[in-house]
Amino acid sequence: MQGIVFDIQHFCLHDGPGIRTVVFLKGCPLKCQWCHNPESQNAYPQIMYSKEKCIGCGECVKACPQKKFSLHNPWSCDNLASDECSACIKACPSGALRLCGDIMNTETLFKEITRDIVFYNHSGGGITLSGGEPLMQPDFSYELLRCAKNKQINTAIETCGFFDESLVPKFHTVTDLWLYDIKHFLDDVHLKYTGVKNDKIFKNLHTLDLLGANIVLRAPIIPGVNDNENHISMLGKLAGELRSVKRIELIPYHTLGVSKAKQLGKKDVFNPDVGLLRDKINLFFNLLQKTVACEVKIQQ
Amino acid sequence: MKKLRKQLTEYYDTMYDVERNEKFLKVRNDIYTAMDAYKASNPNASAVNLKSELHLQIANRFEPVLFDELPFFYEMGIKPADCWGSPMLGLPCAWGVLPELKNANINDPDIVAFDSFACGAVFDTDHHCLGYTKLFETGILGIIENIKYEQKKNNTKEKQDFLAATEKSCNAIIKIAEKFSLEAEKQLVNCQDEAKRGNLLKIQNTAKRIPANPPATFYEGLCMIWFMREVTASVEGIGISLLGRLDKLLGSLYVADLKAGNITRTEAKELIKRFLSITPIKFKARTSNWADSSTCIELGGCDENGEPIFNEVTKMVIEAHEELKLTIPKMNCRIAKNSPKEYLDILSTSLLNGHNVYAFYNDSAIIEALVNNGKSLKDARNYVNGGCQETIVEGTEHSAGVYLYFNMPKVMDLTLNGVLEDERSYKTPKTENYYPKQLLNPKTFEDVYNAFFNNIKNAATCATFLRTEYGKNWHKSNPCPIFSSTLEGCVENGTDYTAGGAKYNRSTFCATGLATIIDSLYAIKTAVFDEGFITYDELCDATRNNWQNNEQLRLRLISLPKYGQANPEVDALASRFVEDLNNHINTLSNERGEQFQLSMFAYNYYSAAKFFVNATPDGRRRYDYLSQGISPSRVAPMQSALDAFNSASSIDFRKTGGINVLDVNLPYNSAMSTEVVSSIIRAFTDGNSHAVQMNYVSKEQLLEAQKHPEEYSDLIVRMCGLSVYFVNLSKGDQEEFLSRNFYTC
Repeated sequence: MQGIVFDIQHFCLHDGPGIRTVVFLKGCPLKCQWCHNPESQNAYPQIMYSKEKCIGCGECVKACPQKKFSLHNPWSCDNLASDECSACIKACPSGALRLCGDIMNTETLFKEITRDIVFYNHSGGGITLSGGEPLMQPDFSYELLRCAKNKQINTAIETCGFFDESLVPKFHTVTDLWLYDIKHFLDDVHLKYTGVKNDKIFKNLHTLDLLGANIVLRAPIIPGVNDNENHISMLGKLAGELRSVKRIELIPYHTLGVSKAKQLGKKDVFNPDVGLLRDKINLFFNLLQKTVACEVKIQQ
Repeated sequence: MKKLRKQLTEYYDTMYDVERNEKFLKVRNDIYTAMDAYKASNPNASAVNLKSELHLQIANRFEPVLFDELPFFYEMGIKPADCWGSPMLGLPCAWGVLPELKNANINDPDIVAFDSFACGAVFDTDHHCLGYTKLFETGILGIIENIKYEQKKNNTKEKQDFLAATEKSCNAIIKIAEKFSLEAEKQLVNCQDEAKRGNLLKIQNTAKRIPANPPATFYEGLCMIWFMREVTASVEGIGISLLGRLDKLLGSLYVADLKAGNITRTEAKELIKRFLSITPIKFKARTSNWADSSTCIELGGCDENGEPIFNEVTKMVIEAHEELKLTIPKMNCRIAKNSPKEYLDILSTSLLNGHNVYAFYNDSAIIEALVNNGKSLKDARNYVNGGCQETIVEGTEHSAGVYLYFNMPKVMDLTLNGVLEDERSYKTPKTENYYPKQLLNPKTFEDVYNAFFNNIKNAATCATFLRTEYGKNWHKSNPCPIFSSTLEGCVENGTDYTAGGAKYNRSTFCATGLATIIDSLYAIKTAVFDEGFITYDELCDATRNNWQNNEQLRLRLISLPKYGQANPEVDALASRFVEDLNNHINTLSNERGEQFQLSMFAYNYYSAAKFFVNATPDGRRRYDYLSQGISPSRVAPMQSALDAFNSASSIDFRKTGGINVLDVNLPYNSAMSTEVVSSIIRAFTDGNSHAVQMNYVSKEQLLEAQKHPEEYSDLIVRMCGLSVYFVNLSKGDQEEFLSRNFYTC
């Protein structure tokens, strides 16, 4: 079975218990403006270009069979969004050009995942599927999680929660931990910043909760979007109502996505002022700690 | 501790440049005169006979030095403060050493002809471990009893000669201790200070018993180790790097003392602190930029039945070492599948505190490797490591682990390009046929592999043979009856350790640059043969010209898979090479009639050897760093620290008798917990790799330390087989450390 993966990170400690490998799947139903993995949104392979790494050798221009490629502007080529032609990328010696999004089969991927199995075993770690939205590729994701469970590897999914409700019980059986994103409680704001409404997200969350899934609520705190006490008190309320929430993680907005958006050739990049964010996060953390029974953590 | 530091510093300040120390010169000259006279009247005396007379002369003439703040006795004033014990010409202990053997590696043109890829002395005179277990069981008197028993047999003249000399040397050792007792007694007469009297009384009583008898208390145990280690080094002219398995040797003595109410934990730990503090003061660890005392402690591991060793002594040593923020003694920690959780957690916590002093040894792989290299299981379980990480078996083996360093990348360089015009090189008739030959026009990758490997084989064969020829005579230069008598076999065989008297007699061949050559071979395979984007000649030209006008090619080669990225193909190539090399090294014989064995650790030779090596096909530039031990190279970016472990663990080191060491800088991250580090250590015990050294430090900290050294005086890094205070390092060594792989998570 095949899927599109844009990154595999080994030795991760932030996305579930123990030492983990995080597999980033390409494609997301949300288009969050602040997305720290903007290369994950599109469901197809994309070219990324790092000007810093480019040595200006011109091998890419020479290699282009269609002669459409111009130096420092790889996005001028139409064929780049597909894997039909990657001559320029193959020709690039410095790694400045790279194809984001590998079509991988589950066997190959699982083999790569299991190379760290000894570390999972001793640390209680395992794999986390992230993205993008892993449930945009449900068959592929399910197969990976199933294989992992067969090898007694701990499994986690990091999800935006926007997926077909029929998937909930199926994935519940192969997922030890759900890292569940909550972006905004108001439908219209959610729609404005992410491109979708949030009703499906909350519905799936409640269903999972009823099934008794292990849930960690993850709240990205975005300046100008949800960095207000109202949002935090709603988060507290939500956590209080659910039975299965183990922890709330506050994730301060960071600017790592900005350079990646530029590498994708995006012009209008969301780049808010993060000046006061650190103080606010500490305030929110204290507020939540007073109101909720579960653990609260600031995710670095 | 401050007073102790002051006292020791004041004394040892007079003991660095001993040629200006009148007291030292007088004692030395008296000893030399006496020995010259003895030799003149005994022209046929054997080397070991002369050595035992030297021991007696030293015992008669040295003047004991005691320190108020120290309850230990050891200082004889006859070797420089920062001398390991090596037979340095001009020291009393080196009276009989033959300069033509000692300096052969500098003077013999055949050996020098290979110095760009094979260097080092002709005999390993350091890095030893005394047979502490035997000393703890029988004391010197027990050894003498055994000698007397052997003397009653129908022996050859040589054996009888050796036994007589050894008995004389053992008696000299007891006499040396007694002189310390008498000195304490003398000082007590005029001493009113209570604390000082306490130490003097202890010494007066203990030096009568130790080392003659087995230690009966924890304190006596420490005295036995320290006295025997220092005195052997002072009188034999060899370096005793190992202080032994402290927790195994002292654990039960401590428990017995505690039960009997003889000692409290606080008192015991204070004794340990003083015991640990002497070496760093002598070697100026706090101010020197490369304070290598070669002194090691071994902790953990298992007993002869395979049961874990972990006790209060283990804990106290680790606590004391960290509280004093020491770099030396080096901390060698054996770990096993059945190591207690508490042990690993203590080590992990200490590491996360930035106490970057630990080397971790994987018991199961090392013990199996030792058994595969001729040791009995019971003996193998008593292995120790030192002066860096070299494995030796305590009580049955001496070190022969560090005298021949081999630069594999240079052989690759010579295989591809021969000797370049601007390089110095000369050949001698004896070595010419063994000199690496340039490979022209290979048709397949196998041609390249075989040519390179043949060059390694020939050079290794010749380099070991040349040293062996000298080594055959080393027993005439520096026999060591005291050290030998603590090793099983020497007394029984009537043969000194230098002549192969000990139970085990392997030598170790120490190869450096594994990742550099594996990555280079893989680059040739891929670039020239599999993908064919460059010809062999073009690649050779590019390396010969140090990638001039060819940065694109260099970057392309860097981007190819590397060892340390857990790439199955590259790792398989590494496994194949290590197996081939190990098989060849095992066919080589040393002067004691036993085999060589392979190791890859190489101290800081990876740093020194780089200046011989031109650009290599892995994308490395001329004179850039070579890879270290079995660690990944630093040419390409490395993503996951776990992959360094995975690649190293994929090689089966259970057949290589020498030690093989991986260095990893753990990711510096607030999410790194004791549990995470312990699980990494635990995972390491599941693999077939030998040893790992980990640093927990961030690049940012190091850069800050460069800017504000005064604020980072305690910042310790593990460089190779030693740890140092980062700010003391030379700028070049700091940059070397900063150029290593710093992983993220």
